[in-house]
Amino acid sequence: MPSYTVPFAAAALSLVAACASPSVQHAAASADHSAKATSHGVSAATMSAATVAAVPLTVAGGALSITGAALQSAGEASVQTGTGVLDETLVPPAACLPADLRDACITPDAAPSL
Amino acid sequence: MKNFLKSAILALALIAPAGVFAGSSATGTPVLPAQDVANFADRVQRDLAARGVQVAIVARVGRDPAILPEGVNYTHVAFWVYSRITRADGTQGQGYRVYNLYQTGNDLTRSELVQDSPAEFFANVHALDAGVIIPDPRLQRKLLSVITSPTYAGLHNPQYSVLSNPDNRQFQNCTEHTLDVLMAALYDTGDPQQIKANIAAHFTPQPIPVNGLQRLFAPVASAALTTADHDGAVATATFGSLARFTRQFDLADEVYRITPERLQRL
Repeated sequence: MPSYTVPFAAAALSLVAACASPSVQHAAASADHSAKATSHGVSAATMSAATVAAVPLTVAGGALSITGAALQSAGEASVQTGTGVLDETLVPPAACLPADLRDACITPDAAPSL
Repeated sequence: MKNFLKSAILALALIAPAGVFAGSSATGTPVLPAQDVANFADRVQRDLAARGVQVAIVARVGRDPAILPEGVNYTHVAFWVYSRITRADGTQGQGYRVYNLYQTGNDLTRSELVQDSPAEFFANVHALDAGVIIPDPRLQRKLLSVITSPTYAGLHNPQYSVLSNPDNRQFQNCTEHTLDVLMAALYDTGDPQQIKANIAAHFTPQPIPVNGLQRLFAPVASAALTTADHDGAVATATFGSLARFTRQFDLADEVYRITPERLQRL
């Protein structure tokens, strides 16, 4: 047996579900539970069934609180998140098309700083 | 040639059945008890809230840690954003929403942007263990500005590869999208070409040890394992490489690991 096959298979499998949603990890048939988030222009993100709206809050300093509906329940962990139809807005912009994939000609900025 | 074919058959025999297993991980049964997962999700969000965090980068262990490649400790990364949440039943609360890039269920070579809850984020993890990067408060504000703008979705490339090269835009995975958004915030730009140029210049991805023949077989296991976007050695964005990047340029307040029992600064 080639020595490379086993470790590679293991490495590949360890990553194959890297960005899998719970529904992908389960591979279970799931209904389209998705709903568009409309707050602050986050129109391209689908949301799971239990939540109908989530509005990012701008707060200034100090400890924050976790309250009410934001607290997690055991049942929620098994919710099948939406595998919904891709929103048309998710189609990459023209600049992402294959003919223009290489960015070597762009001069980078200086190292990041705050 | 004979040896090559023999190797190919062996590789197929090893990879193909296991690939099927991987695609249907855990066969519908959560790895850890749901109540433990929910409790851990609340522990993480309460920890963030106690620190006054508006936006954090959080990673989870989605596969058995024993089989993760060297240098990879977490398998999925997303932004957690402090939000006012309204449920379908009308109840409200304040806590964190998770902004994910997930593979789609019916085509693992595609992805979509999905918001979910902390408990959903940790559903099916193999360990109650999260990696956390708390950006500098100035960076948190910049990130929130990008996440709540069309730039967030504009930087999404639905062509998914597990081993995506962060230096170009051929494919993207969850961590690379997080990195792209981070760069958009740092440089106040939504220009994907400029973002990629800056990533290539200043970000060091995590090398993944796969040789040429192994790369040849990668698409056999899953088209989402392609390395067609890499010219030489394969390297991809990971939580660890994001953590190193934020430390290198003094962009983070804290980088740590959280489990049910303890916090460990990384």
